[in-house]
Amino acid sequence: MKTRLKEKEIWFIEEILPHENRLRGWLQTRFSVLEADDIIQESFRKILNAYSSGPIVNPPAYLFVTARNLAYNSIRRMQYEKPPMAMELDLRLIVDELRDPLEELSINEECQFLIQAIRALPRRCRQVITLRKIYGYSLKEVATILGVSVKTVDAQSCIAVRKCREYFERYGIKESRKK
Amino acid sequence: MKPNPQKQRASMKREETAAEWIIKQDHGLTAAQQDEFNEWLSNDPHNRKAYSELFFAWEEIDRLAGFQSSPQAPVNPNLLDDWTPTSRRINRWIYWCGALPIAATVVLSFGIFFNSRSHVEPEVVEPAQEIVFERVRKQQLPDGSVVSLNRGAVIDVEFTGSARMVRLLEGEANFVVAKNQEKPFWVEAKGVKLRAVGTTFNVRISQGEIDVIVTEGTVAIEGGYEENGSEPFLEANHRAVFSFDPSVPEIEIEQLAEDTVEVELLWIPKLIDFENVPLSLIVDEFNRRNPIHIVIQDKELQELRLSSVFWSDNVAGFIRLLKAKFQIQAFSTEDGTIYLTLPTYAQK
Repeated sequence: MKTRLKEKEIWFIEEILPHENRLRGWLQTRFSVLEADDIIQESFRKILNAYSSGPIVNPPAYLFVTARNLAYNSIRRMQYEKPPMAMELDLRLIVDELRDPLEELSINEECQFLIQAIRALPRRCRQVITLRKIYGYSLKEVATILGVSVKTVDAQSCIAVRKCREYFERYGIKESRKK
Repeated sequence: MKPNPQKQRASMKREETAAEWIIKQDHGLTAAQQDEFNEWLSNDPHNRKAYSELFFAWEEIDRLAGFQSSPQAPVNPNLLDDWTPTSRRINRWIYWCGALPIAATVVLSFGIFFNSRSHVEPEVVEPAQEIVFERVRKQQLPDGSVVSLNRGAVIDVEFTGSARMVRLLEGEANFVVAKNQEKPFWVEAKGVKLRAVGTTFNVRISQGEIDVIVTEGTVAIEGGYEENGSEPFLEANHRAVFSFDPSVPEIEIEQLAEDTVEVELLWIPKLIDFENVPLSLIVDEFNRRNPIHIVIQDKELQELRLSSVFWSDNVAGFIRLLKAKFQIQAFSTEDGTIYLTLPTYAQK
């Protein structure tokens, strides 16, 4: 008996699963095998949720970013004495899926909304967010690229997160509204 | 009701603190900081609310991760400045009017395809056989070096405090070595030991031989191949073949023409940019660069023009795209040949 897969499942199989091994490899150089597996499972769960409630511009990039954020959480739970080594993540190495230019032309409204939210930021803020969130660079890397101090990058990031929240609120986008 | 200035100030301060925590978390908290954060959160329910609203916004932006259009393009902090919102349907249509070939039947067919996009998909079709084709694996090593592993290659990575070592156990790998004067980078393959500093080189294990080609920098050959007391080394555009066949010299070094080097390294994935190019040429490119044979059965299909950017080893992805966008059919035969044909509604 053949069953038809839901769109969500097809998306997951096509766009996310092919990257599992690479993600595992990347996580394993920083954690044990068990922890990597936990993080991967949790990332998958988060991604499937996120898929239902908004656009994901670049699925593999989103997978890595999600996993990295979860990994940081897991490090916190392990209570290290010092902050852990930054988890370097150059999204340009991840962004390697077949890119269809039509896909780029037709980025949907929700994405446009997010993009506008960032464009509304003051210039320096915008640059910091672009490098941190879109390119996935670490604090130090962003500081180096922009030629500013790490403190400045932090400060600009704080301004950015607050302004983005304001923008969201102005347009009525709240967590409670999403599934 | 007049806004209460004191409340406003408190609210702003709270938001500032919440924002600071979010940014701090982004690169990991120490145990002490974690405690501080938990305390702040539980001090006041408004703190938790402020934090969660900000956190939601911060996470939502992650949806744009990887938005940059091409991984080869230089990093651009002003990436979004020039981006303009576009209207979905119109642009697709304009794009395709410009790009379609002469054959009228094909134009019409694809026109129908586009007009019917908004309709429900026909229930009839079972998904055609899924074409599966392994990609070249790219692995980043802890020092930033990148290894491309040809299909079937197996490596073992051992980085210590004083050295970087990779053992190639099987197959073919290409190394782009990150510069680090303090820590030499070694690749070992069946007893042949190569040392590199800021180099790009290729190593292949095949029947009875190890084949090494250097594309950039210099590779020193260690382990008993010395001549006159000095280690042989390989420079860019040179190849060394180590043979285990006793009737043949142990090591042969030769200089290669650039075209030869290119041909030997076609397997390494490259981002290929096609601009308004017939499908036949695109397929040729895939055939050149992969152990595969794709055949386009219909003449109109051969002339179909596409503009896109592909990773040269992503054969399966390319075919999925053709199927998904144009309902082109693909099937493979026992010997592994892949045939591409027009969608059923466009066939005569």
